[in-house]
Amino acid sequence: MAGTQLDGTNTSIDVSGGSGATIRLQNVTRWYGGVVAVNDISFDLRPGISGILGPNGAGKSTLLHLIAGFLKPSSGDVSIFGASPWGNPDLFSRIGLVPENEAVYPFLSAWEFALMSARLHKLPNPEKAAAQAIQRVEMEAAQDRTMGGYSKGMRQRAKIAASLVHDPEVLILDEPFNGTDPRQRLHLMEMLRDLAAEGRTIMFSSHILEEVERLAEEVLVILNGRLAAAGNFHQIRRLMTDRPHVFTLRSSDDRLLASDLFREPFVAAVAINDAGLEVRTDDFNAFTAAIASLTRRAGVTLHELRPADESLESVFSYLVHG
Amino acid sequence: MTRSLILLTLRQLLGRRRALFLVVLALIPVLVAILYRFGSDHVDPPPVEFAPDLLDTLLLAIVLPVTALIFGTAALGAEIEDGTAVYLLTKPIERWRILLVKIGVAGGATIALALPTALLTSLIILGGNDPHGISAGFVLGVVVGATAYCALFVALSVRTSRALLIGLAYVFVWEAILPSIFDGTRWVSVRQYMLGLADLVSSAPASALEADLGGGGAAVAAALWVTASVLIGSRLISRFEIGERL
Repeated sequence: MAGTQLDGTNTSIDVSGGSGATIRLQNVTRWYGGVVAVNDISFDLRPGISGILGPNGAGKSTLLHLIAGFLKPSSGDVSIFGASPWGNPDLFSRIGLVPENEAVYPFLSAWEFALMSARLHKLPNPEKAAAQAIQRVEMEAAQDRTMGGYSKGMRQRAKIAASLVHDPEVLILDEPFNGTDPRQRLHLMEMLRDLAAEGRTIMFSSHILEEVERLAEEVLVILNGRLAAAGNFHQIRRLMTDRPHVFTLRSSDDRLLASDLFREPFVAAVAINDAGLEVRTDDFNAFTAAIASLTRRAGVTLHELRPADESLESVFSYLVHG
Repeated sequence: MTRSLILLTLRQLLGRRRALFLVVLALIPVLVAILYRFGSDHVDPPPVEFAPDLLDTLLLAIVLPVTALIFGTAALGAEIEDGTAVYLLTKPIERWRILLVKIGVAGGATIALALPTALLTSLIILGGNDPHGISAGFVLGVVVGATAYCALFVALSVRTSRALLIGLAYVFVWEAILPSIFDGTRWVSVRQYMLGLADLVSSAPASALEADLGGGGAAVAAALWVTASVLIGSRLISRFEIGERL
């Protein structure tokens, strides 16, 4: 992606950066009946790791399915290596896809699954390719057990192994960390970094900010089918952190605490309601660092302090609406 | 590549409970034949009439279509339903080839169950004396019928998640009832193709084998049926979109 852009009002952000793109979307829209799932999205992706971030139902899977050729755009163009993925199964010799659906063939072992994938890819040495893929996801110990008895994390790794057998140049992963434990997640992240370092284009979706933060160099924020932000993750994260934050407080004397809070420069507004105090601050870090000493100084006991707008949806909503 | 696809489909189809149910179903005509052989006077009806009548009523009308329906809708439709079809569709394989393999395996599995039933049933009833070629007629009918049913049901399962229900309606309403009311429906009935072909090969008495189609017409109609099912199914699987099945 060429740079970071945010858009609060327009239908899309075009971050197309010219030639050399592995994956290119140009004004892609996808309708389901009368509902628009992906709305006029354009971007280019080059080798490296890109994350699609968005709340559940935002359109992330639809976008990945459009890129993988499992959905036809209602309008606009999708291309991978310059070719449309729609109705073009030959492209899968260069693409690996890990679907979100955790279903696997329960009667196959991970080894059989990887071997079958290698054979269906018509590889010259399927056994060697399967063994390398299994080794890459560290599944050797469980490779001969049938996948019906696997945990979610193990199934995820088996799926990734099957998608890697043909050494794809593009790897598309839909919520790849679902169901994985912290150790497995770290390992998968490390593996994806290694794969990207070898020159692959890796695209993954997640609704968890921290996953994207730890892994993606570039990020696409999707909200209600629109590209709400795109570009370098840290710039987007800063925008998310610097936005106004709302906290709800309950204390032994809400009125006294409210008058003290008003004097602080980082507090933009304070409202008293039935639930207690609602405090709006422009500086998340300053507020959270000062609140304890502030209550102590006022001689007030703090019963409850909780962020009122920390859901991912509210963060995304801020990115779109400001 | 094709071998892997065949083996995978076979393992999917031949789950323990499903296989057991279908084997029991396939044994029903054989059991009735045994009852006839050892529990009747073989005069009314005589074996040459009872064999084609039983094979038509139980095998062609119930056992074979139900077996084909279960295998045909499971061969690809079950994978689409549970999401595992993605692992096949993300391979550099022409989609029509996947469809053909699925039809072939489902048809082969149906034949593997229905053919021994046809042979054993006629053998038991006729006692090995088959001058009218009844066995040969029904063997041909079973092979063509299994292929035609499976082609239809596999193609149908690409389009809709209700393929099993629609297939049941086709077998037990369209094929079982409508031909006696609307003469033209015999041309779109796999059962009538099977009967026409069985009649073409065998010389069983007309009172025992009532075919509404001539052998030549049945052969042409069956060939058109399979071709149309494969073409429509290929088009559907080539344009398959995730989450868009009815």
